[in-house]
Amino acid sequence: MSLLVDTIVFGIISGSLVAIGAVGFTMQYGITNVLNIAYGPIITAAIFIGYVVSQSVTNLAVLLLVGGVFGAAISYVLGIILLGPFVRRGTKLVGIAIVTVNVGLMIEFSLEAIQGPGLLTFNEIPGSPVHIANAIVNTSQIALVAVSFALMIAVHLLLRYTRVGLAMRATSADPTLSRGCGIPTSRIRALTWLISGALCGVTGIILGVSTGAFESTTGNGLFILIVAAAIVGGIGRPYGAMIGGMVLGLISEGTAAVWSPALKDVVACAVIVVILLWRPQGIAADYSATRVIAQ
Amino acid sequence: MNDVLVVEDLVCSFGGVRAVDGVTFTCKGGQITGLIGPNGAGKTTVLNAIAAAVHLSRGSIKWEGQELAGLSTYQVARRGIARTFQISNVFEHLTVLENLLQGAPPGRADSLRGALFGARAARRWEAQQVEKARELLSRCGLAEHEDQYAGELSGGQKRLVEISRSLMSDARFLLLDEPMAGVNPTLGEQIAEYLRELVSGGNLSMLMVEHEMAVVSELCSNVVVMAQGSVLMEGTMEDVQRDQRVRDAYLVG
Amino acid sequence: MSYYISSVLIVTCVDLIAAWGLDLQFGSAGINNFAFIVFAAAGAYTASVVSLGSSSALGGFQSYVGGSHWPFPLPILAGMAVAGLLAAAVGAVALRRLRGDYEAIVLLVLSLIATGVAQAEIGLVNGPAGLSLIPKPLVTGLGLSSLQYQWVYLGWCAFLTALVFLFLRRIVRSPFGRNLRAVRDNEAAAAAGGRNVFALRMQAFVIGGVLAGLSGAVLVEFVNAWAPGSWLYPETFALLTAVIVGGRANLGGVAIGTILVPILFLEVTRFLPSIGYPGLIDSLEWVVIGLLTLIFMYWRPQGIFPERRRRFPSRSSGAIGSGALLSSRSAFSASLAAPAGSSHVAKSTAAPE
Repeated sequence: MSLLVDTIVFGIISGSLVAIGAVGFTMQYGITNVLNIAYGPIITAAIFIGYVVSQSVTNLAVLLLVGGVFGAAISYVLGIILLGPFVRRGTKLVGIAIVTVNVGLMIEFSLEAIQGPGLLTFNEIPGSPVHIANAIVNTSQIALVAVSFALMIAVHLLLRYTRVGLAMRATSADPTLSRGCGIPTSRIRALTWLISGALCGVTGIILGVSTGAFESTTGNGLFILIVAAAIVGGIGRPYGAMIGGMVLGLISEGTAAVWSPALKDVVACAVIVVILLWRPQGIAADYSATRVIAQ
Repeated sequence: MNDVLVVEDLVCSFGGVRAVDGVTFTCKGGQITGLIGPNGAGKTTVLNAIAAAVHLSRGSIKWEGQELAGLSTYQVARRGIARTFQISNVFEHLTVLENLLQGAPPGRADSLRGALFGARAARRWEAQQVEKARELLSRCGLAEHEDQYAGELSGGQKRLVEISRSLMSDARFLLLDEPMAGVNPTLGEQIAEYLRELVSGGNLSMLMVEHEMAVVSELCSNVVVMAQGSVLMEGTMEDVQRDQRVRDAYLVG
Repeated sequence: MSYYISSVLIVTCVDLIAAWGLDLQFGSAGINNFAFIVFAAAGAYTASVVSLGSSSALGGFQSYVGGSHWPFPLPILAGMAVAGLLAAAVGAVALRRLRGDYEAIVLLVLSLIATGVAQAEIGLVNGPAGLSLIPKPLVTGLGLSSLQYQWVYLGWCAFLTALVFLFLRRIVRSPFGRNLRAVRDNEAAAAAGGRNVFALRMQAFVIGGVLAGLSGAVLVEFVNAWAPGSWLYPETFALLTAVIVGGRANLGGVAIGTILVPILFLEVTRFLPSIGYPGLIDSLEWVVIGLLTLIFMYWRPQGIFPERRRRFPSRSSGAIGSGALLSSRSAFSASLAAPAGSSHVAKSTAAPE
């Protein structure tokens, strides 16, 4: 019984983290058609920035804000400034992916250079333990879950009830047609990178606060789950990413509780394989030529 | 003249929408059959279904008496059916000559085993195919372009490369998806002339989706009219042009 | 010094085999195998495990599955076989439906997962510490000094590299090689031409996987240790950079790229004065590799030596027969020469785009 409670409680905690990360990632894919492999390293970079800031300020809200702004800025630079020239000259999608990989490598190894030989540890964020059934969680963890859910709701409101959100959904469905209908797709792209970048940065802060010890590859571990969640939910669909994130979180914690923490990755792999074989959700026989990058 | 391609009650649905809803028609040997209709009628889908580029939900497609439904694209191609695409599909980074070589029927020579163990035989086979390709290229006037990357050609030239490629395999049936699209009228006339010449040999039959009515009346002995996923009528061009339903479909569609 | 040179040359051979394998998959067949290094690791781990003997021997300080004492050259063959089987398994899932960047990221994630599993599951291949004390092949049998052994081993590597080169050159020039490139350029057209696209991709993927396994096995028998740190996901991209810089689908180009990037560049930095803490230079090297790839992707995507255009020897004798046809078609060709009307004329060959 307590195993189940543990699974659910920690599943929600880690699931909400994966979910909010997956929403940002899947928005980038869905709206701008870029599979951003630098997403993991940007999460790590946000952790580093948060670490630096947390040496002076330990207010969670400030850290989240800093992370969000940082994530938005760096994602904008990547998505618009660096990728722009490649998109304009018609680089194929895998070429774009290779660009993002290499930008990610540059970020990751710059962080490694800065970090030096040891592990760094995020300062403990003040909070007090709370009992939920038999599981012990920290109030800061609950705060972070609340933040994740609040952001997911914000994204939902954005997409469903604002003109910008509508324009985003249109661009996601058909960029060429959207531009033909007068939607300023280049501005939508910029906004997408800013918003999804902010989500990415916030994800990093939450991850840093949650895990404590971190290094230049920390973001990649979460990135695995984010990609799996995005695939499960249907890549490019924000609501799918939210659901996928929670599902992955629950499965992941369940595996750790029932078998061993080492198998979390194996399960993520198994999930990816099963979904790809059974229901790739519109990715089946997706020739790159049919996807157009909004300009 | 017998029925070489028989399509019966073909249904293709995508996500609940029936793009093709119970289509039935036949193509006779040695002829060009036209497939016309307003936009969205499902013509390209029919072509794609025959070529196994899309899945069919129901129905049968019999080619030379054999059922094609359920085969994959390359299997249909190996049965003697070749196709062209609405936007000319060439291999951009291969030369024009290599593009044609890609149309040669696959066999032992172009397999992995052929590359490793039968190199000499493979080279001989390739030399034969090169001869044939060169002949086809000079027939349609592209001989001096043989070493150019196919991606550098104009639309009309690419269309000719596509057609020539399909002839490399001694295909007996050619599916043409708007062969005149994106080609200037003069060149279009000459492509039409070329197609007529090809069919006159008697070994080749064609099914052509086309919007240019002039081309259709010139080339097609039999015309199938589609609208909104089903066949309106089948007959000669004169019959079709006189039919009121067809006129209505074009005005509405 | 001699020791150093022979070591560098051995690693060069290993990297050449690996880069050519990746080029077959990525450059010729258009398979975006971002998990390439995992197959090299599979070869390395397999070769280690079958030459280390059982894990309880030597005091059991490292734990791993299996374990035998297979004589040379079986461990290398075993490494190639396991890597090939792994490629077949992964290919069966990944190659059927995935394409383009989606295929790339799924394979990349599988690569990350593989590293994670190897590090977490101690019993598998000794976790983060990895395997060590892997015996050099035939070292007792030959009775050479360690320097002499180096050169002999280099000879062996050079021989293997030459074999791989000849093998790949034959494949690339053959009609089979052209089929691969056709699938890379335009799958729909290739299938419409009767080519079994899935089978072709699988063949390229498995051959590339086997070559990866070979490179891993040969390397591990030289360095005698192998841990997850040896095959982190960026290693695939060092090789990919070599392919992009050198010129994809061009064996000579990839060779130049391999010599320039992993070898020359990484070795040259060895001679720089060490600044900061040990490892700082290594990290910065990777930053520069990333930058180099971006520069080439933008300014010279086809690489230093672009893919070669295949020309066929002209007809032996003048083919008189087609003369009549030619003249009657002259009007045809005249109107064709001017790319009139629609359709853009495609830009000249841009490579990995």
